[in-house]
Amino acid sequence: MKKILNQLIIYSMSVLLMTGCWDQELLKESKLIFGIGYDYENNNEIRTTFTVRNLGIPVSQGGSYSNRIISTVGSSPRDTRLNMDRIISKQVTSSKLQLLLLGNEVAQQNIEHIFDIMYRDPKSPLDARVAVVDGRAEDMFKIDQIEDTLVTEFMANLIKGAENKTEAPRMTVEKTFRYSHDVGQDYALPYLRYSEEQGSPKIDGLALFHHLKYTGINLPPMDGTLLMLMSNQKSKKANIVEDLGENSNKGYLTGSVTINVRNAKSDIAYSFHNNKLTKAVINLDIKGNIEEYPQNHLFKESQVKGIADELSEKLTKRGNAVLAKLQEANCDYLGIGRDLNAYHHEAWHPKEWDKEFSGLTLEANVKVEISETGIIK
Amino acid sequence: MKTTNEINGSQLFFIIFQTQVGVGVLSLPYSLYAKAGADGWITLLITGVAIQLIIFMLYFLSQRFPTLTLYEYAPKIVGKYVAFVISILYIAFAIATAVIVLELFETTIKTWILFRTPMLAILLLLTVSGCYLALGKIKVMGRFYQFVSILILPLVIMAAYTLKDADIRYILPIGQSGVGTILKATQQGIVSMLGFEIVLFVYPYVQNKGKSALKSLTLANIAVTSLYTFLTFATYVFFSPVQLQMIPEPIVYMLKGVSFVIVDRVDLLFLSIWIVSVMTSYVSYLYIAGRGIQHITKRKKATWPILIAAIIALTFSMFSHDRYTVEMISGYHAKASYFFALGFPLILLCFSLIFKKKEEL
Repeated sequence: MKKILNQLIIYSMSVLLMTGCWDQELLKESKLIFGIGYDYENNNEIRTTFTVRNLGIPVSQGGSYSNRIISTVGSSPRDTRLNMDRIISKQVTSSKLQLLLLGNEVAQQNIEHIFDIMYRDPKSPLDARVAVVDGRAEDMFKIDQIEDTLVTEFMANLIKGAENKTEAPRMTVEKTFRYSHDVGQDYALPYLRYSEEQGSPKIDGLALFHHLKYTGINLPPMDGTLLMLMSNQKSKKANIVEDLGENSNKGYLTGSVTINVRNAKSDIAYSFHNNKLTKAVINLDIKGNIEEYPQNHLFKESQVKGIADELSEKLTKRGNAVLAKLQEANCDYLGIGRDLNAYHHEAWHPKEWDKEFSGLTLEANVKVEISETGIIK
Repeated sequence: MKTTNEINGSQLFFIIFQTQVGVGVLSLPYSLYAKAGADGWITLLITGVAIQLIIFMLYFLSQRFPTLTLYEYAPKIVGKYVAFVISILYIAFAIATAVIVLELFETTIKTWILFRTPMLAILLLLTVSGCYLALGKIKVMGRFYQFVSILILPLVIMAAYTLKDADIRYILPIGQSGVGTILKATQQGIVSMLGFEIVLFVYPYVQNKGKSALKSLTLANIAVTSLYTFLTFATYVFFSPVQLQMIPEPIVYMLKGVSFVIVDRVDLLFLSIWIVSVMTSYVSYLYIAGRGIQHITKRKKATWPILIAAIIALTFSMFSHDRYTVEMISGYHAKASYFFALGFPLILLCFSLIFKKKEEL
């Protein structure tokens, strides 16, 4: 009897301790931020644009999705968030954030200023995608809807699509945190541009970053793919379109060939002099299928090999141009510094790495092999 | 079926394992990184070896008095009065450990999950459930520890999942901090792997003493060492070096970025499992303290002593504390713990060897 009484006391006490009462956050009482954009304002102020999802009537019951776009100015991201809280009626939470856009100007400042609240808050979404916008992020969000799709989702899907096609690396808040504090490796974010022609945003290559700042230098989409292949980051799919030049465009508009990369393996060979890195050669082996080649039918193996050789030459040239751009931006995207630290520790001078990197001789060496030509020859 | 007051080899294994795995696991990668840099995970392997030596020592001491706990055989070695002081110190140490477990638990829960819940509610959660478990027989404790150890598996799987984003270059070249630094950081490792000293208090209840008990102890040490090394390794290849200096709880932080279709916040899942491990460590120290109080007050049952220990621990942990004071207190506690896990048992063993004190069987 006494035992049962004891148990009863313990059970009833634990019921009292149910903690939901203090920390519950009901969906119906909160508003979700889906997208955030940061822009630089004059007087060292930041403008933050929030897209807040209206959770009215569910779509299944005839309602429709809609956004509310709010833009506030403040001295820091947190300040603008507080300012926004004064405008909006319900409790706002960013835990479901999908997309974080940086205006061109603000990205060239120290981005730590923007990301600090993301890193510090236990409820912040670390897997939200990050991208840089040509012009102002505010203008992108102001589009509101592209046909039936809300602009935040549209852009988030654009970025995810680019990730699948090896046109942009998967850069989330977490990854940005990781690389922006790493001395031995830099990174690039997808670059979004408003296309006047389509009236909607589009992916326009990669924005190269060095440490905490956007360098202002971009790579066009195709070069972005090549760079990602060079750093062994091939995603589900990767396409390369290359103009083979005059000897193959007889009677056609262009002499272009498209290959679908099946396999890409990259490997960097380093040369040293006096414990200092002098030269790095990036050897990229691409195995691919021809996806488009209207100019000729490839009956013989030598023809395929001819195209492959020509492609190798063109891509090597393009690769070298990409590397030159990296050096101009001082963006060690390939993580050469990390490699040095890990495998050639005596040649790793973290403090002088910035200077050393731009003085390096970087060389690309691309080799293409074609194995299939589709279902016709 | 009657529950005997004996534990078998696997229960001994899980008691040691669960007591060792606890509150420290979250901040371990961070504190090791501060000491040994990217080689912190090697330090843990060396720590495992060091702990194995201590375990041998504890085993030899316990084996000399196979049916007695430390509280009971201490008077036989060093006399009534000194033994009384040692017992009091052990009780104080166990309560202090319980307080630190409670405080670290509370600060972690408060910063990661329950921001607005009052401190007392969080502390009572652990205290009430912990007391309930500690009041039972040691066999119940062993069975419970054994049962909840299955939860370690998802913990490992979650950490292993993040390896897909790992960059092995973050920890290369191995040994970059130098042998001296790595060895020096062993101190940090031992502190977070404490808990094996519970063997001094549960050994008399082990069914098969001798070699098979030693085997359980060794296996527990191997299991804890590999678990800790793996978790630390996973965070070291995940975060870039500067990040590791900024993030005090790297494992949770690492899992925060992971999201699946069904589970969005894996870190919450991790913390929920971690709470169980914290609870088991807490219960073990409550048990040590309770048994000590029972012995010096010469009570028949351990019910009140354990409740008193729990209430003292709860009261102390109620003092307002922030991250920095908790860090300071656990620093002092870490220094003191050397005496209790290594110093006192070693002295007792030496005395018992010199004066040929042994339990007459």
